[in-house]
Amino acid sequence: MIGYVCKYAPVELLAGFGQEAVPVSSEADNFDCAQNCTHMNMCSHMKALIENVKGKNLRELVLVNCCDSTRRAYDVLKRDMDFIFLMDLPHVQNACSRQHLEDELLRLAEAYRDYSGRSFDYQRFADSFQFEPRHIEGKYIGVLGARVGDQLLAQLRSLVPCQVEDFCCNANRFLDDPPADPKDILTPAEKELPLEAQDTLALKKVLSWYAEELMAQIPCMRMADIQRRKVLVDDPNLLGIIYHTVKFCDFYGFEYEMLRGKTEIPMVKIETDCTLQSMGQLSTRIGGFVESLGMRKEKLMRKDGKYFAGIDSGSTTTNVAVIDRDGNIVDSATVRTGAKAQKGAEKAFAQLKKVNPKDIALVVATGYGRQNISFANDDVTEITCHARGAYQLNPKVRTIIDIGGQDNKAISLDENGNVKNFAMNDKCAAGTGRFLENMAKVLEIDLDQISEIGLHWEEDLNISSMCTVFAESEVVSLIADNKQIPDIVHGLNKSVAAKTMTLVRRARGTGAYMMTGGGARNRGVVGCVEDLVGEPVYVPEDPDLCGALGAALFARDGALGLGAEEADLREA
Amino acid sequence: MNNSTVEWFGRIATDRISKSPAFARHMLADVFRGFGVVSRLKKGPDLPGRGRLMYSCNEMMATSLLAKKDTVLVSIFTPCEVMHAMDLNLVFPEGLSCYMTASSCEKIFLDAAEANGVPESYCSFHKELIGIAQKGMLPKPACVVNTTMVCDANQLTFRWLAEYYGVPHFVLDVPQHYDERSEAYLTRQLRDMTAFLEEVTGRKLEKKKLAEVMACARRTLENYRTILALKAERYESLKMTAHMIDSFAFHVLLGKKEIEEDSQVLIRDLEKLPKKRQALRVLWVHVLPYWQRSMAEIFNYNDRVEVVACDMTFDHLDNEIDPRYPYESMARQILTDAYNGPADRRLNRALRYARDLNCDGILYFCHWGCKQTQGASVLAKQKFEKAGFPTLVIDGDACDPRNIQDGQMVTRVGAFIEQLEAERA
Repeated sequence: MIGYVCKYAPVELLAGFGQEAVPVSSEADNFDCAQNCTHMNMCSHMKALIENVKGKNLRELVLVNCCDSTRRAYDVLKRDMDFIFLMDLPHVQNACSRQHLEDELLRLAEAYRDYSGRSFDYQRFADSFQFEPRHIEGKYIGVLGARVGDQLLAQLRSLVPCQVEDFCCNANRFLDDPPADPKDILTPAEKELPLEAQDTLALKKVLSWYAEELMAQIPCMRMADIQRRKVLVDDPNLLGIIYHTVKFCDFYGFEYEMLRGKTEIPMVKIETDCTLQSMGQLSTRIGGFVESLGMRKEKLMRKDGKYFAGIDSGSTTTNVAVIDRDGNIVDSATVRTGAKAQKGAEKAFAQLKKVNPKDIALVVATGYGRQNISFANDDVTEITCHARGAYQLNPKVRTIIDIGGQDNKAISLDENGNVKNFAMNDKCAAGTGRFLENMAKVLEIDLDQISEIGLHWEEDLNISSMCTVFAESEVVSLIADNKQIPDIVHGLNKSVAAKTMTLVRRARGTGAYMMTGGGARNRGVVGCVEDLVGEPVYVPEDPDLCGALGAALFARDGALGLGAEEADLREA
Repeated sequence: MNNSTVEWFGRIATDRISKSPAFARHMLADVFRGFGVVSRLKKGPDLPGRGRLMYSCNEMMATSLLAKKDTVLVSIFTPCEVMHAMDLNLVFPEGLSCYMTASSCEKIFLDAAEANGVPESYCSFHKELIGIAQKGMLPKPACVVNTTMVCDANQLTFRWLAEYYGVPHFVLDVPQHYDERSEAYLTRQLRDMTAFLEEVTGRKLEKKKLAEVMACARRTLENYRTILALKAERYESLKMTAHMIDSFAFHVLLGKKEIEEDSQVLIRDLEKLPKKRQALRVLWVHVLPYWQRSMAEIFNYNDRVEVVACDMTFDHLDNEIDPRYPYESMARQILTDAYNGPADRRLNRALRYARDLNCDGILYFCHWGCKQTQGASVLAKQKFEKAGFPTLVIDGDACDPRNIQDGQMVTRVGAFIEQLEAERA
């Protein structure tokens, strides 16, 4: 068994030697091995490859010269492999580059023959071309961008209630059938040559044909000419795009930006590090995206009771909002979430003072812990709930900036309050509530103080580091330089605002703006955001409750049958 | 210039860039040019040859900012002898990024690039130059030419720039290994590049002129070999900037008469220095954050420790140019470059020069976003230390101060110097 990772890998050539080539495309549990033999800022996919090779004790590998990280993965793996080959893949497509690839295929064939002692058999080679044309029926969601691992793809398929097609860099592998007999490729004049010469020439021409076929695939972003990638988004049945980027792989961020400017097809970006550690955040994004496409399936059932509750189970706090049939908030509570979402939610419900829980007809959960609250009748992502809550509070709002404990979001709305676009921070905590909480600890002040103290700055300091850890060092240095605390806090506020604005731009946010979440309580941050957007930002009376209010409104819709009707219409 | 002056200038430049890029381009061009003239004329701690090389590079950077006809945008490892023979203007944007950071006005460009979706993990040289273009600081070129060699960012940035300006783009696809077939493949592309430049600019390449430029390049590289041989036995009081300037001058400007002359002056300067090596001698691998105050305080004009050379200046010295076969020579030059191909080639080259230059230790700088360098860092440390060279692998950023943890760097470099001192003792 020989491993490969790239769609340009000549797996059929290896089949000609009787060797089965298997794709190495699993996520990694961790990067313990990769950490020891290379740098942590290497492309996560290559780190996962190293983990897979070492963890599964793969002894043979054929790599393609895809990128800097692949070249270095080859360098660090080659000492421990029985057979490893790095095939040079041209970046350009013309007669010269085809010849170069043909030379490379020959080099690989010779190297594998010498290593394995096996001979190339044309029939095995020809039989290995088993390509079924992609067949898509009806509407579908396309996954584009950098390769997705097996488990991530399965997760995406479980989260999206329609067909999901993989168009990532390692998918789209399709080659035409080779000639049944290699001599079929010879011209009549060549068939007049002696038999041995015919065999040699036929094999050379087959390799040339094979090189051309490999290069003729839909190009990945690493190729010089990427015009033919247009075909991936040029389909009326393509409902939406889940665009995947891999941490420390830069190729696909460029295409995502290009598509964002050119296509009207709804798109959500997800970034992973080829581990399964960020599935919670992923499910929020995909859930929000699915909801924004109108594909959410209603689960609510009618129940008796005059009130409707929404629970926003966040990483730091759990908020409950209870509304009446007119959408007025009649009771609310906010508690620390603690270690378990269920317990946080129970605690929040117990804190309700004006409403008896028995009078609550339906409960909808949202937030990071939304799927872990047993007494909730349904769950909706915080993207959709924030949009719903914000629109209820102020219908003029077109962009919501939510600074939560571990997630920051920017959500842009249309004139009816529907989600048009959204962006969330990746795994990095820079700019989140947690970031400010850590900085408050370093400054030895509490969160309430940090909200106020930054308003009284005199010296305009900058915290330039984007990384939370680096920023902490920078703050420590400023303290050591006897800088004033209000000035440092102002610098931090500006840093949070700047980080948030990158999300606003990604979500194509426009005025009017609303801020929600714990960050909206920080008047310093709000002021810095106002400076950047150039207009006043609306902050609701209780900015923590926006998501819970949206969830409560969904509960009311469900109870009154509104949501189901709407969902049916959208699905139709 | 001291740091507060640079920061003051950076604030003014940033303000001008945001308000009037055309004005800012002229202002920065004047400053680069003026600084180049001062470096060439003033008597200071640097050798006169260093001042001349600085002048030549500053002239090119100044020209880069001013719109000129028949300008070609090239990457650092693009062979530019053909362009010089055709008298085309060159803009070398990676160098421009360096100059902008050294002028303390990088933030406006980096922010612009990130706001437009350039990944945070992207090489900051390239991120900054995208921002430079977006802010209207890079005049529209006639065309873009780059190699695929060394880093992925070349592919992405130069394609982006060609699309951004809507100009023709030529890619030199560089094979990873050197053999006759690879040389033929690249030679053919270099000929095609000439035809492309002739078509885009309407100029004709004269074979005789190309042969002269290649002969000049050959003599200049020979001079650089002599420079390194002289440095092997001498201490030169210099600043880190000198190595970055060398890497610019002996790549993109290779084949220019003035660089050959500058290198001859530097040889004469070095010959006058006494043959002694009192300071600790460090070989620097990869780019240098020469504008970083803390690093400059450690390494600039320090008779305790000297950065003797940087591996970006001797990556292409192993090949002899034959002016009779210019295209084949250029192809070989690229294919045998230490930065092309497997990590071992680059590490072995660095090791050889560390020995030849009588270095005490090797500092391996992992520039933010450079996967080629980062990816080989563990191998490098193992190989160098096995060969007897204490090695410090350090993370940093040669272009974006936001990715630097200054205190930690200072501690590590300080400890490394102490380690080298102890070993010498």
